[in-house]
Amino acid sequence: MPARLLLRLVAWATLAYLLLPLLVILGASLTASPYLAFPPQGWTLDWYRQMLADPSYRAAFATSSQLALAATVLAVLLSVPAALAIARYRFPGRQAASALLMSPLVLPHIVLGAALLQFGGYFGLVRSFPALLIGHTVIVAPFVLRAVLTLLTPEQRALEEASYDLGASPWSTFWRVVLPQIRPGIVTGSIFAFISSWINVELSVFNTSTALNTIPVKLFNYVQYTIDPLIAAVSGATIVAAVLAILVLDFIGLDLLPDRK
Amino acid sequence: MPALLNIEAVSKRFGAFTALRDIHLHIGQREFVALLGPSGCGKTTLLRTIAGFSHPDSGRLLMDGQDIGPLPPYRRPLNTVFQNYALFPHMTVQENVAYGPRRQGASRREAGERAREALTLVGLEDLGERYPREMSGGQQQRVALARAIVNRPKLLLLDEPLSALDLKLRKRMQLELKHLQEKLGIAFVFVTHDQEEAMTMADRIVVMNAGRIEQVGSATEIYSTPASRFVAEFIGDANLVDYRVDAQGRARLALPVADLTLPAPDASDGVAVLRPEHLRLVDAGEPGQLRAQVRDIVTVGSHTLLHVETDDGMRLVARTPGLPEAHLGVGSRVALGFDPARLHLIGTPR
Amino acid sequence: MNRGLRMPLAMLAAPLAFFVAFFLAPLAVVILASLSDTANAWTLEQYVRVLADRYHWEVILVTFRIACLTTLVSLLLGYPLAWYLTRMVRWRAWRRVCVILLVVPMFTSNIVRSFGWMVLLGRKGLLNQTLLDGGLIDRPLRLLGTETGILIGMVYVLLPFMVLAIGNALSRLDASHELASADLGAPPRATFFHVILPLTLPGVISGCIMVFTLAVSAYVTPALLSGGRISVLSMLIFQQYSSVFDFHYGGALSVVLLIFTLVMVGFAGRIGRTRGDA
Repeated sequence: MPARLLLRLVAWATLAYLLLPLLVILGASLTASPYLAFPPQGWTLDWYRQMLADPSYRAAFATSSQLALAATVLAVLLSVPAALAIARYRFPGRQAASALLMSPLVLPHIVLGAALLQFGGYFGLVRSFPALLIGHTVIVAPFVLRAVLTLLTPEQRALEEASYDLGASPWSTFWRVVLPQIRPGIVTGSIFAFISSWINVELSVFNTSTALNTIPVKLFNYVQYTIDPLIAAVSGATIVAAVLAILVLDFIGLDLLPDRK
Repeated sequence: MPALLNIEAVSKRFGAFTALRDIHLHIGQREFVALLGPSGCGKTTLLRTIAGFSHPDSGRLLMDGQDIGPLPPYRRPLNTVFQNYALFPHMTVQENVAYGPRRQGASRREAGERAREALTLVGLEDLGERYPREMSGGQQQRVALARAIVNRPKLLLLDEPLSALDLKLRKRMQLELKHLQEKLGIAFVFVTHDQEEAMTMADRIVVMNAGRIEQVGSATEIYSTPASRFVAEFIGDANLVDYRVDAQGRARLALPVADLTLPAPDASDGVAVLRPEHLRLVDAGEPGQLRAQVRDIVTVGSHTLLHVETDDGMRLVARTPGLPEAHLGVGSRVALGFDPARLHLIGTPR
Repeated sequence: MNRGLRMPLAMLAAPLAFFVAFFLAPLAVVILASLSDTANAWTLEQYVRVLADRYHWEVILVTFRIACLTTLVSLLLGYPLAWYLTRMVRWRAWRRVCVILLVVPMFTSNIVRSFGWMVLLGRKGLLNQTLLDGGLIDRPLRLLGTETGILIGMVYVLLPFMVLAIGNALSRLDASHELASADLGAPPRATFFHVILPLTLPGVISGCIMVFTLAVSAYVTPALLSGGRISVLSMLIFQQYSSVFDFHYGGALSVVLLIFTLVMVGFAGRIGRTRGDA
């Protein structure tokens, strides 16, 4: 059927479009030429070695990792109780509370970054790790909240009631019944949170300096002036990290696009 | 009666699983046929094959003499009532019912009129503006029915349409469906796993098992003269008694009753069916009786089931009308009698 | 206090306090700043400045146009791809590879994704080289620094969100609705337009909201692919806060962008409540 064939061709072309830039970066990062070339001219891992040897990149990788990790932990600590309160209780302002905690998902990050810069300025909370951490926590918390909320279904509620019925206290019910049920949500939410923080530029760009820089911001500043194989290697490293994260997600059974029933 | 639909040698496999094995079936004009069997027996696959949702590996489907096998579902002159009704949630009841005529090229006005007619037929003429989710299960069921008959199909397929309803409503709908079928004068093919439902409604019942047709017949036929051990056990309660055929061609039953032989249907050994209602309590001492001990008493109200064990260890079920007699209890000794003519001998097992 | 209220309040206290302090308060500061001048007197002067300037209108128009086109192109490419992934791919391993391929761009930085396109779209980039070698063009096309270039990069960045939103709607679709439609005499095309499309509309709309809001506020991709030739709203905002340091004026621009986003979200949310969903 021609319609099906056309559909297949469009899909393949779109997949190629998605793959192309990643291939270009990975290919360019392996070129032996001193300038950016694709297809690569000869193969070398020198650019990756150079990246790892550069203390400023190592520092930026460290900052990004610490920042993403700390923001994710804070997001979990804030979002899990919030999700439980929103899913399990009926109280005035419940909808508003939920909307507030979810809204960073749709609000422009550049505006939030600017707002935090101006607001933090009043307290001297700028261009420092805590300033970065606060902003990142705000934008990644909704990922955890959303992932946990989807698991707190009415059916799951019956398990909690069964636990109370069998004589468990709220505390042990939380640890033994609720937590195991929402753990997949916490894990997936955390991975999304970690990644969102790890790749963020719009927010970080206001609060970084030459001494305190994250990988994406460092890349951003660099790319605007010059592009060379080193930058491709740094980019390539983040792509490899992303693929690893996705393989972990795939391995723990998160199906981003579930099969048809 | 000339056949409306001829199913000829239809087979279907899914990988290693055979869903339909060489099915032959004729469905007459205005006939109400039930496809009955346990889950996985192939009845739903057969229905889907008729509808065109499943393509047989071999065999032919002739409707009014025309081969409908190559036709896609939307060109077949038949309609389906789905198990979960499959009502379009984004359309009102009226729009759901008018969908068929619209797709067949009717004008908006004409389709609307026909939809209203169909809704009137199922008693929902006032609820056309509602959305399916605002209706009860029984009402949704009627909408699905109206939607399926609005195109005036020659054949209506129903895939366990009553299974989601509660018992009382189901009983009422069974009779309503039967009356609707008579009023419309079209053939119904009805899939069910509920033998009572099949027996209440169908002119003919097709009993299926493991992708095969075990027996086709009226309710009376399949109940009193089951063609196989499977049919005997699937339809109602049955006491099954083995028999051997002796040199004189007489079937000798494995019952502790002296000299009980019956003419055998063929030369090989087989099994005989004795329905529980044909076993009755008798006074001790009558000839041809079975002596047994009561193991369980199940009181249904209109009748009572006595599960007994004969002295040589055979378990049987007897059905007596009304409530159990006061003196009967678990462990009571009873004598059971039956009319040998009530025994149905199934021939060579298939 | 009512006992039924104490538990949820205790659980929400920390997250709400955090969000009020570090989300609502900063946004309030921006809004207040936008309504005042350097002498801290209340004024609408900032908005007058924004709205009276033809240049700003142009930037707003470009921002809006790029966001709309990004949404449209993502939808036109995303629906077929989502369809292909949920309904046509039979081989599970290939489907998994496709989904991973789809998600990798979501998990890499805008920078990295845009950087790839900078390499591809440049005057001597792969695309121009291929077209020149193939004899399809005589002179290299200028793609970097054009709206087309930005659009190519933006669609690339945001397409996965659209595909996942539509794909999830498609895979949740109850197959019996399509069978019922065919049974009632609808050929595949009619079934698509009358049944499948309306039933997946909520997914389409949520994908469009997501893509539009991200596109209208995108900063990195347009900044890198514009080559300094084209400005979008977020780039003006960044300038005000990072180099001009006019927080009042920057605040007004931010509020304009916020309103843009919120109006679209509200608008789309209204359509999203499809009939019969009550």
